[in-house]
Amino acid sequence: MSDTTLPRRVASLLDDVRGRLRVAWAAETAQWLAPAVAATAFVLVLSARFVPFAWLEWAALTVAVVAAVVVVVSAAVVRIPDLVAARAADRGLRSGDVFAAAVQFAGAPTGFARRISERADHLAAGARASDAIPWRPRGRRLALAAVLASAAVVLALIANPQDERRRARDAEAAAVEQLADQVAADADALAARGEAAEAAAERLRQLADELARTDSLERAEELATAAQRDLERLAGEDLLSKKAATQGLDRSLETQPLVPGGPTAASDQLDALADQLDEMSADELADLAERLDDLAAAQQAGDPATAAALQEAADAVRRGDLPAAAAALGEAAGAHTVSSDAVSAGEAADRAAGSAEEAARRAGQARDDAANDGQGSGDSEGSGQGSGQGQGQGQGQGQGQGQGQGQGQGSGQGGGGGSPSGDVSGGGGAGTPNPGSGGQGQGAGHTDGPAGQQPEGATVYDTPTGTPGETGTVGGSTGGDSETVGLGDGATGSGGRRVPLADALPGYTAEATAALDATAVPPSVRAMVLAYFDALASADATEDR
Amino acid sequence: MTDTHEALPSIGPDQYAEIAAAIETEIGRVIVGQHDVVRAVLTCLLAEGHALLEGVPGLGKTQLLKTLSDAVDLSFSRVQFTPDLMPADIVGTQVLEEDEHGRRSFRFRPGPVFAGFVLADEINRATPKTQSALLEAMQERSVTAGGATRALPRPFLVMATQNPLEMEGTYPLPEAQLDRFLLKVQVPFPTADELVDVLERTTGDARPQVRAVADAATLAAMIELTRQVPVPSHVLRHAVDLVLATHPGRSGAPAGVDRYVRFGASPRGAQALVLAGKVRALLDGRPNVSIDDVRATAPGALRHRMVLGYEAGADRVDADRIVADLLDAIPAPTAGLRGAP
Repeated sequence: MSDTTLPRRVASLLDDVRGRLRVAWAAETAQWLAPAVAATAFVLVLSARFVPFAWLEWAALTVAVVAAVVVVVSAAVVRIPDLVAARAADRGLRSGDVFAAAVQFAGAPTGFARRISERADHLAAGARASDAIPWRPRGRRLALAAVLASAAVVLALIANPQDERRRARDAEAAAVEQLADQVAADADALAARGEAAEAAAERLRQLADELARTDSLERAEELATAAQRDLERLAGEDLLSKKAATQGLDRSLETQPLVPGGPTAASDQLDALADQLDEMSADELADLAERLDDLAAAQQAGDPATAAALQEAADAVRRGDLPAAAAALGEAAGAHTVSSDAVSAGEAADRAAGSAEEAARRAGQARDDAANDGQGSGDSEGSGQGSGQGQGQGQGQGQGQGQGQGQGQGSGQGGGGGSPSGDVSGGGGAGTPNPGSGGQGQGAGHTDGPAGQQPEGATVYDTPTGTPGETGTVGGSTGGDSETVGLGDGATGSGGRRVPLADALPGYTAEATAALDATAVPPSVRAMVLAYFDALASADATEDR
Repeated sequence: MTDTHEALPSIGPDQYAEIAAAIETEIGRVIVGQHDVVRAVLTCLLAEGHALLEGVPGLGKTQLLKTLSDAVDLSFSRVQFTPDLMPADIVGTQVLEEDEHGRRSFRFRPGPVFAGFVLADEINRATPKTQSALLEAMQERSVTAGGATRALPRPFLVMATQNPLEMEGTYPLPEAQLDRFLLKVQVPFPTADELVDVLERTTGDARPQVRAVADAATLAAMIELTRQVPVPSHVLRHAVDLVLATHPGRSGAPAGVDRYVRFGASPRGAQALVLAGKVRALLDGRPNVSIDDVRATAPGALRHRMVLGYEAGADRVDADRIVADLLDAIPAPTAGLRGAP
């Protein structure tokens, strides 16, 4: 409000002028800013056609809206003193600075002040604020802003070649996020298994965090692969042999206890045996020495510490040095406990490595799918190459090659007695008008070829047999297009025994199924492994008939 | 002659404008055209300043001041400046007198400066020493001679005329003396119609009679009223900006000032702008000084206060052009808000 000592009409005029000045200020500022804002918006929208950032177009709109809001708000709050309004009125109405003088000398006890006030009041009568503050369009600035803004709007409305890429990025980010959630869930599940799994669970959590921080499937695959390698190192290369040794000792002592009627756990049995040595007869001690020799031999490859203690105990029993034998049995019990704990931790790491591997596989699969989706919409004149790779796990490995679907080529690896047909889902061959690069297909080698023939006699080696490092035929020779050859890395020892396949197969099948359930095994691999055991079972049944 | 405020008649702004208009009307009976010159001289009178008129001989400068003195009923003296004019010829001198008893004593005989209106005709034909004799009178409105200082009457207006410097036998006025003139007025040559009118008036037997429409007391009251006119602060600021811009090297000084001006206007220049602006406002019937008043008086108030360098002479650039450039470079101030006029 204007000074109350001003004449009413002057005060009213100045209020009107003040309001008009706010509008003029906003209009002038807007005209001053408009070219810069429009240019900024245009550059942002133009950039959005070359880079796949969706926020660029929103940023352009935001710049314009923010500029408009700032101008309007600033105009509403800008301080316009009476003197400024009066000077503006004086200039606009050409009133000879009488309004400014009226404001400045309002209330002064002089004749001139009174005359100034009267003259200002006289001039204010009939004066309009719109005459005092005329609208002054800046033609060139407005034209420039209009051209730039129109260009920005047109660019924003017409089809943007980056839209497809943006959708792909969003889908990729969503896939990575889902992957991170899955890995985090796996880590939590693993952590629930106990203290031995904590290190592996922690590495999985680290992987989940790293995945959460990236939105690139390629990077996600790299991270998962790195985590897999770390976890595999954590599990140890000799996990299987160590596991076979410790579980073999447990199973052996469970079926043939060293101390009849005693505890069932291997370590407890060894401790109990150490306490009962004095009560055993010479024959019993001789049998015990032989049994300990066998046990030591079975543990040699997977658990050398336990094997050494057992062997020392056997030797001491033969020598009749029962106290030394008792001490060695105690050492064997302790070594077996340590080895069992290590196996537990290794298994946890192995499961975690499986999770990481699965994450890497899913990331790669999603990336390939995205690449194929992008190429699928291209011109059919393109060509591409794809390769498929399937991995099978079992007691052997098979290799095969086959033509991929479409124009791709694929190679597959399959395990089991069958021969991979090469029917892999290779990368799609459809490509862009330019010679396209084929996606890398992911496929599992199907074992839909003729099943391999089981060897005559249908027997298998039991675990504690064989010679360390010996190359053994597992499951017999295979027919079909491939040969299944395996290098037995289990605990093989001297001597050996064969048992009917029908006796061993259910146990093996149960072990394999449990292993598949315990680790994150890709469904295709799981199917392949189960198919392998089904094939073994059906072949055995045929043989029996 | 009125020296005390108590005795001044009460003059309001309306009467002020009426009396001034009457004076201009009476002058117009004798002087043909030259309205701007008449207004400038009247401005100097009402602002209690002095006027310097420049123009070729025969344009009616002397007649103007003579007519003005008749219109306001003030004493008038004319001093024709010549190279042999001495300072005592202007301010007066002590003369030895003998009374009836044979006693002799010195008595001060006032010079022509002791008058309400003093016409220093062709002031630049006298030597600088003689020109300087007017300094004290113009600034202090008093004269010191024979060890005594004597006040000059009020109103006191010195109107000097000078011929263009290019003419033979002229001495440029010292800067200090130039600064004491409120306005320097260029007297233009009359138009053909005005010249015809001049001939008709001056070659016949009719003698126009000038009526006194004001007296010294009225003029003194008008001068007092002039001082009371309020000046808004932004108008004062604009006057200062204009004066500062006459100084080369100052921010805001136009290129012409930097190139051609050696010394800018003194603070008296700003005073002249405001005082002349006050008179202009009152003569226009307005109770306050406006930006336009200041800008309108800028040429007369500033043109003689800038000392031009030799480049100005070489490029034939005069002070009027520099002032015009100055007014272009320092436009009337806006309200100080974006979008405001």
